[in-house]
Amino acid sequence: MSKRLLIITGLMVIALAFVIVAARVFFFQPPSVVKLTKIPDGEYDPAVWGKHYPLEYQSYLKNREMAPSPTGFGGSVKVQKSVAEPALLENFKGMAFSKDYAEDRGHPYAVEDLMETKRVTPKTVGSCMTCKSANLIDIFKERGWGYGKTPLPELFPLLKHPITCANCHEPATMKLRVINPAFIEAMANRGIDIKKATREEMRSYVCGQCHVEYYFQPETQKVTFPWQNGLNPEEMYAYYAGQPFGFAQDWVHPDSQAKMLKAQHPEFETWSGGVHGKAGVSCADCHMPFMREKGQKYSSHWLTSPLKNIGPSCQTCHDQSEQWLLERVKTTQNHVWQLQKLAGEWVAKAHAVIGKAGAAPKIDAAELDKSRELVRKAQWFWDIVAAENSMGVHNPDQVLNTLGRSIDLAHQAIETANRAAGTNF
Amino acid sequence: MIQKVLKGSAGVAAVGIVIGLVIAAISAGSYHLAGTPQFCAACHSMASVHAGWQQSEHKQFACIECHLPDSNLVHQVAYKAAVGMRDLYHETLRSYPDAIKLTDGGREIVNGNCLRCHFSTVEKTDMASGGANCIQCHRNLVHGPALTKGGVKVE
Repeated sequence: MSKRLLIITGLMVIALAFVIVAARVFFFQPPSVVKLTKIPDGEYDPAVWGKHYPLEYQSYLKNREMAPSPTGFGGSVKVQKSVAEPALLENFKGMAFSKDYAEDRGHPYAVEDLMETKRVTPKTVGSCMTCKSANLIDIFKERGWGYGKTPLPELFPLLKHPITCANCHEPATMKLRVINPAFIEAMANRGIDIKKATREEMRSYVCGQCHVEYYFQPETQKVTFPWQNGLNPEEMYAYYAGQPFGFAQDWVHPDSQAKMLKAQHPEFETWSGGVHGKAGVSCADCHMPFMREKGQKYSSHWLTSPLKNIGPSCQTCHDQSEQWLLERVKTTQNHVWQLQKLAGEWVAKAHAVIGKAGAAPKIDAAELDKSRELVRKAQWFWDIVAAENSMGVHNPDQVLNTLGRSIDLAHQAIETANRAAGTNF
Repeated sequence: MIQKVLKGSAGVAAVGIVIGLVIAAISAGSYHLAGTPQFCAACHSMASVHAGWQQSEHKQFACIECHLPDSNLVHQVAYKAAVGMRDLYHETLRSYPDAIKLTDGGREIVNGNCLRCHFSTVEKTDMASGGANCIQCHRNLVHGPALTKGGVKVE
Protein backbone atom coordinates (compact mmCIF):
# COMPACT_ATOMS: atom_id res chain seq x y z
CA MET A 1 0.00 0.00 0.00
CA SER A 2 2.65 2.52 1.01
CA LYS A 3 4.73 1.44 -1.99
CA ARG A 4 1.81 2.19 -4.25
CA LEU A 5 1.31 5.58 -2.64
CA LEU A 6 4.96 6.35 -3.18
CA ILE A 7 4.72 5.49 -6.87
CA ILE A 8 1.58 7.60 -7.32
CA THR A 9 3.15 10.56 -5.50
CA GLY A 10 6.28 10.22 -7.60
CA LEU A 11 4.30 10.17 -10.81
CA MET A 12 2.32 13.21 -9.70
CA VAL A 13 5.48 15.16 -8.93
CA ILE A 14 6.89 14.31 -12.35
CA ALA A 15 3.63 15.30 -14.03
CA LEU A 16 3.52 18.59 -12.12
CA ALA A 17 7.12 19.40 -13.03
CA PHE A 18 6.28 18.62 -16.63
CA VAL A 19 3.26 20.92 -16.55
CA ILE A 20 5.24 23.76 -14.95
CA VAL A 21 8.08 23.45 -17.44
CA ALA A 22 5.68 23.27 -20.38
CA ALA A 23 3.73 26.25 -19.08
CA ARG A 24 6.84 28.38 -18.50
CA VAL A 25 8.52 27.42 -21.75
CA PHE A 26 5.66 27.17 -24.23
CA PHE A 27 2.48 28.76 -22.95
CA PHE A 28 3.28 31.69 -20.69
CA GLN A 29 6.28 33.28 -22.34
CA PRO A 30 7.50 36.70 -21.24
CA PRO A 31 6.05 39.46 -23.45
CA SER A 32 8.13 40.24 -26.53
CA VAL A 33 6.83 43.80 -26.86
CA VAL A 34 6.56 46.63 -24.38
CA LYS A 35 2.95 47.62 -23.82
CA LEU A 36 2.30 51.19 -24.93
CA THR A 37 0.78 53.61 -22.44
CA LYS A 38 0.19 57.15 -23.64
CA ILE A 39 1.78 59.76 -21.41
CA PRO A 40 0.17 63.21 -21.53
CA ASP A 41 2.01 66.00 -23.36
CA GLY A 42 3.91 68.21 -20.94
CA GLU A 43 4.54 65.43 -18.43
CA TYR A 44 8.27 65.59 -17.73
CA ASP A 45 8.45 63.73 -14.43
CA PRO A 46 10.31 60.47 -15.08
CA ALA A 47 8.59 58.81 -12.11
CA VAL A 48 5.22 59.17 -13.88
CA TRP A 49 6.57 57.60 -17.07
CA GLY A 50 8.27 55.00 -14.91
CA LYS A 51 4.97 53.66 -13.57
CA HIS A 52 4.19 52.40 -17.06
CA TYR A 53 7.70 51.52 -18.16
CA PRO A 54 9.19 50.10 -14.96
CA LEU A 55 12.18 48.24 -16.44
CA GLU A 56 13.38 51.28 -18.38
CA TYR A 57 12.79 53.51 -15.36
CA GLN A 58 14.66 51.24 -12.95
CA SER A 59 17.67 51.38 -15.24
CA TYR A 60 17.29 55.19 -15.66
CA LEU A 61 17.50 55.54 -11.88
CA LYS A 62 20.96 53.99 -12.01
CA ASN A 63 22.13 57.22 -13.65
CA ARG A 64 22.17 58.57 -10.10
CA GLU A 65 25.08 56.32 -9.29
CA MET A 66 28.34 58.19 -8.83
CA ALA A 67 31.22 55.89 -9.60
CA PRO A 68 34.54 55.86 -11.42
CA SER A 69 34.59 54.20 -14.84
CA PRO A 70 36.03 50.67 -15.19
CA THR A 71 39.10 52.04 -16.96
CA GLY A 72 39.72 54.88 -14.52
CA PHE A 73 39.09 57.57 -17.16
CA GLY A 74 35.88 59.57 -17.01
CA GLY A 75 33.25 58.24 -14.64
CA SER A 76 30.46 60.08 -12.83
CA VAL A 77 32.20 61.25 -9.68
CA LYS A 78 32.21 65.02 -9.35
CA VAL A 79 35.93 65.73 -9.21
CA GLN A 80 37.83 68.68 -10.68
CA LYS A 81 39.50 67.64 -13.94
CA SER A 82 42.47 69.85 -13.12
CA VAL A 83 43.50 67.40 -10.38
CA ALA A 84 44.62 64.92 -13.04
CA GLU A 85 45.51 67.52 -15.67
CA PRO A 86 46.80 70.74 -14.03
CA ALA A 87 47.49 72.34 -17.44
CA LEU A 88 43.71 73.00 -17.61
CA LEU A 89 44.14 75.81 -15.08
CA GLU A 90 46.77 77.50 -17.27
CA ASN A 91 45.00 76.99 -20.56
CA PHE A 92 41.61 78.26 -19.35
CA LYS A 93 43.09 81.16 -17.39
CA GLY A 94 40.80 84.18 -17.53
CA MET A 95 37.59 82.25 -18.13
CA ALA A 96 35.01 80.30 -16.16
CA PHE A 97 36.43 76.82 -16.83
CA SER A 98 39.48 77.69 -14.71
CA LYS A 99 37.15 78.24 -11.74
CA ASP A 100 35.15 75.04 -11.97
CA TYR A 101 35.56 72.17 -14.42
CA ALA A 102 34.32 68.99 -12.80
CA GLU A 103 33.77 65.54 -14.22
CA ASP A 104 30.11 65.34 -15.30
CA ARG A 105 27.53 63.33 -13.42
CA GLY A 106 24.49 61.53 -14.83
CA HIS A 107 21.42 63.05 -16.53
CA PRO A 108 19.35 63.23 -13.29
CA TYR A 109 21.85 65.75 -11.89
CA ALA A 110 21.87 68.07 -14.92
CA VAL A 111 19.81 70.89 -13.39
CA GLU A 112 21.31 70.54 -9.93
CA ASP A 113 24.85 70.72 -11.29
CA LEU A 114 23.95 73.71 -13.50
CA MET A 115 22.67 75.59 -10.47
CA GLU A 116 25.70 74.69 -8.38
CA THR A 117 28.59 75.26 -10.78
CA LYS A 118 30.81 78.25 -10.13
CA ARG A 119 30.83 78.92 -13.87
CA VAL A 120 27.33 80.38 -13.64
CA THR A 121 27.04 84.04 -12.58
CA PRO A 122 24.02 86.38 -12.49
CA LYS A 123 24.98 87.40 -16.04
CA THR A 124 25.07 83.88 -17.48
CA VAL A 125 22.73 83.59 -20.46
CA GLY A 126 19.60 81.41 -20.63
CA SER A 127 20.99 79.40 -23.55
CA CYS A 128 23.00 77.40 -21.02
CA MET A 129 19.91 75.46 -19.95
CA THR A 130 19.20 74.17 -23.47
CA CYS A 131 20.55 70.71 -22.82
CA LYS A 132 19.89 70.49 -19.10
CA SER A 133 16.15 70.06 -18.79
CA ALA A 134 13.07 68.55 -20.41
CA ASN A 135 11.35 71.86 -19.61
CA LEU A 136 13.16 73.24 -22.67
CA ILE A 137 10.17 71.97 -24.67
CA ASP A 138 7.76 74.48 -23.11
CA ILE A 139 10.30 77.26 -22.75
CA PHE A 140 11.15 77.10 -26.47
CA LYS A 141 7.49 76.76 -27.43
CA GLU A 142 6.58 79.91 -25.51
CA ARG A 143 9.60 82.10 -26.14
CA GLY A 144 11.43 80.73 -29.19
CA TRP A 145 15.14 81.60 -29.13
CA GLY A 146 14.20 84.61 -26.96
CA TYR A 147 15.07 82.56 -23.89
CA GLY A 148 18.69 82.61 -25.02
CA LYS A 149 19.26 86.19 -23.81
CA THR A 150 17.22 85.82 -20.61
CA PRO A 151 19.59 85.64 -17.62
CA LEU A 152 19.93 82.00 -16.65
CA PRO A 153 19.03 82.48 -12.95
CA GLU A 154 15.67 83.89 -14.09
CA LEU A 155 14.92 80.58 -15.83
CA PHE A 156 15.94 78.43 -12.86
CA PRO A 157 12.41 78.29 -11.36
CA LEU A 158 11.12 76.84 -14.67
CA LEU A 159 13.57 73.95 -14.64
CA LYS A 160 11.48 71.45 -12.70
CA HIS A 161 13.12 68.38 -14.18
CA PRO A 162 16.56 67.51 -15.52
CA ILE A 163 17.14 65.43 -18.67
CA THR A 164 14.33 62.90 -18.54
CA CYS A 165 12.27 60.58 -20.77
CA ALA A 166 10.65 63.46 -22.68
CA ASN A 167 14.01 64.68 -24.00
CA CYS A 168 14.17 61.67 -26.29
CA HIS A 169 10.67 60.12 -26.46
CA GLU A 170 7.31 61.16 -27.90
CA PRO A 171 4.97 60.78 -24.92
CA ALA A 172 2.10 59.30 -26.94
CA THR A 173 4.00 56.76 -29.01
CA MET A 174 7.38 56.33 -27.28
CA LYS A 175 8.98 56.98 -30.67
CA LEU A 176 12.40 58.62 -30.50
CA ARG A 177 12.50 62.39 -30.97
CA VAL A 178 14.92 65.28 -30.76
CA ILE A 179 13.87 68.40 -28.85
CA ASN A 180 16.95 70.60 -29.18
CA PRO A 181 16.14 73.06 -32.00
CA ALA A 182 19.86 73.76 -32.53
CA PHE A 183 20.46 70.15 -33.56
CA ILE A 184 17.49 70.10 -35.95
CA GLU A 185 18.72 73.30 -37.59
CA ALA A 186 22.36 72.17 -37.80
CA MET A 187 21.33 68.90 -39.44
CA ALA A 188 19.00 70.73 -41.86
CA ASN A 189 21.94 72.96 -42.83
CA ARG A 190 23.83 69.80 -43.74
CA GLY A 191 20.87 68.63 -45.84
CA ILE A 192 19.63 66.06 -43.35
CA ASP A 193 15.93 66.05 -42.50
CA ILE A 194 15.53 64.66 -38.98
CA LYS A 195 11.90 63.79 -39.69
CA LYS A 196 13.06 61.24 -42.27
CA ALA A 197 15.64 59.63 -40.00
CA THR A 198 15.47 55.88 -39.50
CA ARG A 199 15.08 54.38 -36.05
CA GLU A 200 18.72 53.33 -36.09
CA GLU A 201 19.81 56.90 -36.92
CA MET A 202 17.57 58.26 -34.20
CA ARG A 203 19.36 55.98 -31.73
CA SER A 204 22.36 58.30 -32.26
CA TYR A 205 20.57 61.58 -32.96
CA VAL A 206 18.84 61.64 -29.56
CA CYS A 207 22.31 61.65 -27.98
CA GLY A 208 23.81 63.89 -30.66
CA GLN A 209 21.29 66.63 -29.93
CA CYS A 210 23.44 67.54 -26.92
CA HIS A 211 26.72 65.62 -26.93
CA VAL A 212 28.26 68.03 -29.45
CA GLU A 213 30.46 71.08 -29.87
CA TYR A 214 28.49 74.36 -30.03
CA TYR A 215 28.71 78.14 -29.54
CA PHE A 216 26.29 80.97 -28.88
CA GLN A 217 25.73 83.60 -31.60
CA PRO A 218 26.85 86.85 -29.91
CA GLU A 219 23.79 88.90 -30.92
CA THR A 220 21.01 86.45 -29.98
CA GLN A 221 22.80 83.91 -27.77
CA LYS A 222 21.25 81.29 -30.05
CA VAL A 223 22.86 77.84 -29.65
CA THR A 224 24.63 76.97 -32.91
CA PHE A 225 26.72 73.98 -34.03
CA PRO A 226 29.85 74.69 -36.13
CA TRP A 227 29.13 71.97 -38.68
CA GLN A 228 28.90 73.89 -41.95
CA ASN A 229 32.23 72.52 -43.26
CA GLY A 230 32.10 69.11 -41.64
CA LEU A 231 32.45 67.43 -38.29
CA ASN A 232 36.18 66.88 -37.74
CA PRO A 233 38.33 69.22 -35.61
CA GLU A 234 40.01 70.81 -38.65
CA GLU A 235 36.69 71.53 -40.37
CA MET A 236 35.11 73.00 -37.26
CA TYR A 237 38.18 75.17 -36.69
CA ALA A 238 37.95 76.46 -40.25
CA TYR A 239 34.31 77.33 -39.61
CA TYR A 240 35.21 79.39 -36.56
CA ALA A 241 37.99 81.14 -38.50
CA GLY A 242 35.25 82.73 -40.62
CA GLN A 243 33.88 84.44 -37.49
CA PRO A 244 30.30 83.21 -37.98
CA PHE A 245 27.63 85.70 -36.87
CA GLY A 246 30.42 87.91 -35.53
CA PHE A 247 31.64 85.20 -33.16
CA ALA A 248 35.40 85.74 -32.89
CA GLN A 249 36.33 84.09 -29.61
CA ASP A 250 35.08 82.78 -26.28
CA TRP A 251 37.66 84.80 -24.34
CA VAL A 252 41.13 86.36 -24.55
CA HIS A 253 43.87 84.48 -22.74
CA PRO A 254 45.44 86.92 -20.24
CA ASP A 255 49.03 85.69 -20.74
CA SER A 256 49.28 85.25 -24.49
CA GLN A 257 46.49 87.70 -25.41
CA ALA A 258 45.33 85.07 -27.91
CA LYS A 259 41.65 84.97 -28.89
CA MET A 260 40.62 81.55 -27.63
CA LEU A 261 37.91 79.01 -28.32
CA LYS A 262 36.46 76.65 -25.70
CA ALA A 263 35.54 73.23 -27.06
CA GLN A 264 32.57 71.33 -25.63
CA HIS A 265 32.03 67.57 -25.41
CA PRO A 266 32.04 66.59 -29.13
CA GLU A 267 31.09 62.94 -28.61
CA PHE A 268 28.74 62.84 -31.62
CA GLU A 269 31.26 64.37 -34.01
CA THR A 270 34.12 62.19 -32.79
CA TRP A 271 32.07 58.98 -32.97
CA SER A 272 30.67 59.81 -36.41
CA GLY A 273 34.08 59.62 -38.08
CA GLY A 274 35.27 56.62 -36.08
CA VAL A 275 35.07 52.95 -36.95
CA HIS A 276 31.86 52.34 -35.00
CA GLY A 277 30.15 55.44 -36.37
CA LYS A 278 31.16 54.67 -39.94
CA ALA A 279 30.00 51.07 -39.56
CA GLY A 280 26.55 52.26 -38.51
CA VAL A 281 26.82 51.29 -34.85
CA SER A 282 24.67 53.78 -32.98
CA CYS A 283 25.35 55.39 -29.59
CA ALA A 284 22.52 53.34 -28.08
CA ASP A 285 23.88 50.06 -29.47
CA CYS A 286 26.74 50.28 -26.96
CA HIS A 287 25.48 52.68 -24.31
CA MET A 288 21.90 51.37 -24.07
CA PRO A 289 22.28 47.63 -24.66
CA PHE A 290 19.40 45.20 -24.62
CA MET A 291 19.05 43.62 -21.21
CA ARG A 292 16.66 41.00 -19.87
CA GLU A 293 14.64 40.88 -16.71
CA LYS A 294 12.93 37.53 -16.16
CA GLY A 295 13.19 36.91 -19.87
CA GLN A 296 11.72 40.24 -20.94
CA LYS A 297 13.97 42.26 -23.19
CA TYR A 298 14.40 46.01 -22.60
CA SER A 299 16.88 48.75 -23.49
CA SER A 300 19.06 49.78 -20.60
CA HIS A 301 18.50 53.46 -19.81
CA TRP A 302 21.58 53.58 -17.61
CA LEU A 303 23.74 55.83 -19.76
CA THR A 304 27.20 54.88 -18.72
CA SER A 305 30.41 53.25 -19.84
CA PRO A 306 29.65 50.16 -21.98
CA LEU A 307 32.47 48.50 -20.07
CA LYS A 308 30.17 48.13 -17.06
CA ASN A 309 28.11 45.70 -19.17
CA ILE A 310 30.57 44.21 -21.63
CA GLY A 311 28.35 41.19 -22.39
CA PRO A 312 25.30 42.94 -23.83
CA SER A 313 27.20 46.12 -24.85
CA CYS A 314 30.17 44.71 -26.73
CA GLN A 315 29.89 40.97 -27.12
CA THR A 316 26.82 40.96 -29.34
CA CYS A 317 29.37 41.91 -32.01
CA HIS A 318 32.79 41.19 -30.52
CA ASP A 319 33.57 37.54 -29.95
CA GLN A 320 36.53 38.11 -27.61
CA SER A 321 36.50 37.72 -23.84
CA GLU A 322 35.48 40.50 -21.46
CA GLN A 323 39.03 40.82 -20.18
CA TRP A 324 40.42 41.11 -23.70
CA LEU A 325 37.94 43.84 -24.68
CA LEU A 326 38.53 45.81 -21.48
CA GLU A 327 42.29 45.64 -22.06
CA ARG A 328 41.91 46.95 -25.61
CA VAL A 329 39.98 49.99 -24.43
CA LYS A 330 42.44 50.60 -21.61
CA THR A 331 45.35 50.43 -24.05
CA THR A 332 43.78 53.01 -26.37
CA GLN A 333 42.88 55.29 -23.47
CA ASN A 334 46.36 55.12 -21.99
CA HIS A 335 47.90 56.10 -25.33
CA VAL A 336 45.46 58.99 -25.72
CA TRP A 337 45.90 60.16 -22.13
CA GLN A 338 49.70 60.34 -22.50
CA LEU A 339 49.47 62.52 -25.60
CA GLN A 340 46.58 64.58 -24.22
CA LYS A 341 48.59 65.49 -21.12
CA LEU A 342 51.61 66.29 -23.23
CA ALA A 343 49.59 68.47 -25.61
CA GLY A 344 47.96 70.34 -22.71
CA GLU A 345 51.36 71.02 -21.13
CA TRP A 346 52.90 72.29 -24.38
CA VAL A 347 49.90 74.55 -25.01
CA ALA A 348 50.28 75.95 -21.47
CA LYS A 349 53.96 76.57 -22.13
CA ALA A 350 53.13 78.33 -25.42
CA HIS A 351 50.80 80.76 -23.61
CA ALA A 352 53.55 81.55 -21.11
CA VAL A 353 56.23 82.01 -23.78
CA ILE A 354 54.03 84.27 -25.91
CA GLY A 355 53.25 86.30 -22.79
CA LYS A 356 56.93 86.75 -21.96
CA ALA A 357 57.87 87.45 -25.57
CA GLY A 358 55.17 90.11 -25.69
CA ALA A 359 56.95 91.96 -22.90
CA ALA A 360 60.27 92.07 -24.79
CA PRO A 361 61.51 95.55 -25.77
CA LYS A 362 61.55 95.00 -29.55
CA ILE A 363 58.77 92.92 -31.10
CA ASP A 364 57.67 92.02 -34.60
CA ALA A 365 53.94 92.54 -33.92
CA ALA A 366 52.74 90.64 -37.00
CA GLU A 367 54.91 87.66 -36.12
CA LEU A 368 53.67 87.69 -32.50
CA ASP A 369 50.08 87.70 -33.77
CA LYS A 370 50.96 84.65 -35.82
CA SER A 371 52.11 82.88 -32.67
CA ARG A 372 48.78 83.79 -31.02
CA GLU A 373 46.88 82.25 -33.91
CA LEU A 374 49.07 79.14 -33.58
CA VAL A 375 48.38 78.74 -29.86
CA ARG A 376 44.67 79.28 -30.46
CA LYS A 377 44.70 76.42 -32.94
CA ALA A 378 46.99 74.25 -30.78
CA GLN A 379 44.64 74.62 -27.84
CA TRP A 380 41.59 73.88 -29.97
CA PHE A 381 43.16 70.62 -31.14
CA TRP A 382 44.00 69.67 -27.56
CA ASP A 383 40.67 70.81 -26.07
CA ILE A 384 38.44 69.12 -28.68
CA VAL A 385 39.97 65.86 -27.41
CA ALA A 386 40.27 66.76 -23.72
CA ALA A 387 36.62 67.92 -23.56
CA GLU A 388 35.38 64.76 -25.26
CA ASN A 389 34.07 62.00 -23.02
CA SER A 390 35.71 58.73 -24.07
CA MET A 391 39.46 59.38 -23.74
CA GLY A 392 39.74 58.73 -27.44
CA VAL A 393 37.83 55.47 -27.71
CA HIS A 394 35.07 56.99 -29.85
CA ASN A 395 37.66 57.49 -32.63
CA PRO A 396 41.20 56.50 -31.61
CA ASP A 397 43.10 57.21 -34.82
CA GLN A 398 41.57 60.64 -35.40
CA VAL A 399 42.05 61.61 -31.77
CA LEU A 400 45.73 60.65 -31.74
CA ASN A 401 46.21 62.57 -34.98
CA THR A 402 44.50 65.64 -33.47
CA LEU A 403 46.71 65.53 -30.38
CA GLY A 404 49.83 65.14 -32.52
CA ARG A 405 48.80 68.23 -34.46
CA SER A 406 48.24 70.09 -31.20
CA ILE A 407 51.72 69.31 -29.93
CA ASP A 408 53.26 70.40 -33.24
CA LEU A 409 51.23 73.63 -33.32
CA ALA A 410 52.23 74.47 -29.73
CA HIS A 411 55.89 74.07 -30.66
CA GLN A 412 55.37 76.26 -33.71
CA ALA A 413 53.70 78.87 -31.52
CA ILE A 414 56.68 78.93 -29.14
CA GLU A 415 59.17 79.14 -32.00
CA THR A 416 57.23 81.92 -33.71
CA ALA A 417 56.91 83.96 -30.50
CA ASN A 418 60.63 83.69 -29.83
CA ARG A 419 61.36 84.74 -33.41
CA ALA A 420 59.02 87.73 -33.04
CA ALA A 421 60.80 88.97 -29.93
CA GLY A 422 64.31 87.68 -30.57
CA THR A 423 64.10 85.71 -27.36
CA ASN A 424 64.81 82.12 -26.43
CA PHE A 425 62.16 81.16 -23.87
CA MET B 1 0.08 -27.79 -26.17
CA ILE B 2 3.16 -26.89 -28.21
CA GLN B 3 0.94 -25.13 -30.67
CA LYS B 4 -0.62 -23.14 -27.84
CA VAL B 5 2.75 -22.08 -26.49
CA LEU B 6 3.92 -21.08 -29.96
CA LYS B 7 0.72 -19.25 -30.53
CA GLY B 8 1.14 -17.51 -27.17
CA SER B 9 4.73 -16.46 -27.73
CA ALA B 10 3.96 -15.36 -31.28
CA GLY B 11 1.25 -13.17 -29.86
CA VAL B 12 3.56 -11.69 -27.26
CA ALA B 13 6.23 -11.17 -29.89
CA ALA B 14 3.77 -9.52 -32.23
CA VAL B 15 2.54 -7.19 -29.52
CA GLY B 16 6.15 -6.49 -28.54
CA ILE B 17 7.11 -5.66 -32.10
CA VAL B 18 4.15 -3.36 -32.52
CA ILE B 19 4.91 -1.55 -29.26
CA GLY B 20 8.57 -1.34 -30.25
CA LEU B 21 7.69 0.09 -33.63
CA VAL B 22 5.38 2.65 -32.08
CA ILE B 23 8.05 3.74 -29.59
CA ALA B 24 10.62 3.87 -32.36
CA ALA B 25 8.28 5.91 -34.55
CA ILE B 26 7.51 8.35 -31.73
CA SER B 27 11.20 8.71 -30.88
CA ALA B 28 12.21 9.24 -34.48
CA GLY B 29 9.34 11.65 -35.01
CA SER B 30 10.21 13.61 -31.84
CA TYR B 31 13.86 13.67 -32.75
CA HIS B 32 12.99 14.94 -36.19
CA LEU B 33 10.58 17.55 -34.80
CA ALA B 34 13.14 18.70 -32.23
CA GLY B 35 15.53 19.32 -35.10
CA THR B 36 13.35 21.83 -36.89
CA PRO B 37 14.01 25.56 -36.57
CA GLN B 38 10.38 26.01 -35.52
CA PHE B 39 11.05 23.86 -32.47
CA CYS B 40 14.14 25.89 -31.53
CA ALA B 41 12.23 29.13 -32.02
CA ALA B 42 9.45 27.96 -29.69
CA CYS B 43 11.66 29.12 -26.81
CA HIS B 44 11.43 32.84 -26.03
CA SER B 45 15.19 33.19 -25.62
CA MET B 46 15.71 32.10 -29.23
CA ALA B 47 13.43 34.75 -30.75
CA SER B 48 16.12 37.20 -31.85
CA VAL B 49 18.63 34.62 -33.11
CA HIS B 50 15.80 32.97 -35.05
CA ALA B 51 14.77 36.30 -36.56
CA GLY B 52 18.34 37.00 -37.62
CA TRP B 53 18.78 33.57 -39.16
CA GLN B 54 15.58 34.01 -41.20
CA GLN B 55 17.14 37.04 -42.88
CA SER B 56 20.58 35.57 -43.30
CA GLU B 57 22.30 33.97 -46.27
CA HIS B 58 22.14 30.62 -44.45
CA LYS B 59 18.42 30.47 -43.93
CA GLN B 60 18.17 27.30 -46.03
CA PHE B 61 19.99 25.41 -43.27
CA ALA B 62 18.31 24.32 -40.06
CA CYS B 63 19.78 25.35 -36.69
CA ILE B 64 21.09 21.84 -36.03
CA GLU B 65 23.09 21.73 -39.24
CA CYS B 66 25.51 24.18 -37.64
CA HIS B 67 24.91 23.58 -33.94
CA LEU B 68 25.00 19.78 -33.70
CA PRO B 69 28.38 18.05 -33.90
CA ASP B 70 29.37 16.74 -37.31
CA SER B 71 29.77 13.14 -36.11
CA ASN B 72 27.70 9.96 -35.59
CA LEU B 73 24.07 9.71 -34.52
CA VAL B 74 24.89 8.44 -31.01
CA HIS B 75 27.09 11.44 -30.29
CA GLN B 76 24.54 13.80 -31.77
CA VAL B 77 21.68 12.38 -29.71
CA ALA B 78 23.73 12.47 -26.51
CA TYR B 79 24.86 16.05 -27.21
CA LYS B 80 21.36 17.21 -28.05
CA ALA B 81 19.97 15.63 -24.89
CA ALA B 82 22.62 17.28 -22.71
CA VAL B 83 22.40 20.82 -24.11
CA GLY B 84 18.64 20.45 -24.47
CA MET B 85 18.30 19.81 -20.73
CA ARG B 86 20.51 22.81 -19.97
CA ASP B 87 18.49 25.06 -22.29
CA LEU B 88 15.21 23.83 -20.83
CA TYR B 89 16.48 24.55 -17.32
CA HIS B 90 17.42 28.15 -18.12
CA GLU B 91 14.32 28.70 -20.25
CA THR B 92 12.11 27.58 -17.36
CA LEU B 93 13.91 29.77 -14.84
CA ARG B 94 14.31 32.53 -17.45
CA SER B 95 17.90 32.82 -16.36
CA TYR B 96 19.50 32.96 -19.80
CA PRO B 97 21.98 35.83 -20.35
CA ASP B 98 21.24 39.25 -21.90
CA ALA B 99 23.42 38.49 -24.90
CA ILE B 100 23.31 34.83 -25.90
CA LYS B 101 26.76 33.53 -26.77
CA LEU B 102 28.29 30.24 -27.83
CA THR B 103 30.12 28.19 -25.22
CA ASP B 104 33.67 27.15 -26.11
CA GLY B 105 32.41 23.66 -26.97
CA GLY B 106 29.57 25.10 -29.02
CA ARG B 107 31.98 27.28 -30.95
CA GLU B 108 34.13 24.28 -31.81
CA ILE B 109 31.08 22.46 -33.17
CA VAL B 110 29.97 25.43 -35.27
CA ASN B 111 33.47 25.91 -36.67
CA GLY B 112 33.58 22.23 -37.56
CA ASN B 113 30.35 22.62 -39.47
CA CYS B 114 31.67 25.68 -41.32
CA LEU B 115 34.49 23.48 -42.60
CA ARG B 116 32.10 20.67 -43.48
CA CYS B 117 30.99 22.80 -46.43
CA HIS B 118 33.72 25.39 -46.80
CA PHE B 119 36.82 23.28 -46.31
CA SER B 120 37.86 23.58 -49.94
CA THR B 121 37.93 27.38 -49.58
CA VAL B 122 40.51 27.29 -46.83
CA GLU B 123 42.30 23.98 -47.40
CA LYS B 124 45.43 25.67 -48.74
CA THR B 125 45.65 28.08 -45.82
CA ASP B 126 46.64 27.85 -42.16
CA MET B 127 42.98 27.84 -41.23
CA ALA B 128 42.60 24.24 -42.42
CA SER B 129 45.14 22.96 -39.92
CA GLY B 130 42.53 23.03 -37.18
CA GLY B 131 41.69 25.34 -34.32
CA ALA B 132 40.64 28.21 -36.60
CA ASN B 133 37.79 30.32 -35.32
CA CYS B 134 35.77 31.09 -38.46
CA ILE B 135 33.11 33.07 -36.63
CA GLN B 136 35.54 35.46 -35.00
CA CYS B 137 35.47 37.31 -38.31
CA HIS B 138 32.27 35.96 -39.85
CA ARG B 139 30.41 36.79 -36.65
CA ASN B 140 27.46 38.48 -38.29
CA LEU B 141 26.88 35.98 -41.07
CA VAL B 142 23.87 34.31 -39.51
CA HIS B 143 23.23 36.01 -36.19
CA GLY B 144 24.13 39.59 -35.48
CA PRO B 145 22.86 43.06 -34.77
CA ALA B 146 22.94 44.01 -38.45
CA LEU B 147 20.34 41.37 -39.22
CA THR B 148 17.94 42.12 -36.39
CA LYS B 149 17.53 45.88 -36.42
CA GLY B 150 14.43 47.17 -34.75
CA GLY B 151 15.08 46.20 -31.18
CA VAL B 152 12.40 46.28 -28.51
CA LYS B 153 9.00 47.17 -29.93
CA VAL B 154 6.40 49.24 -28.12
CA GLU B 155 2.83 48.37 -29.03
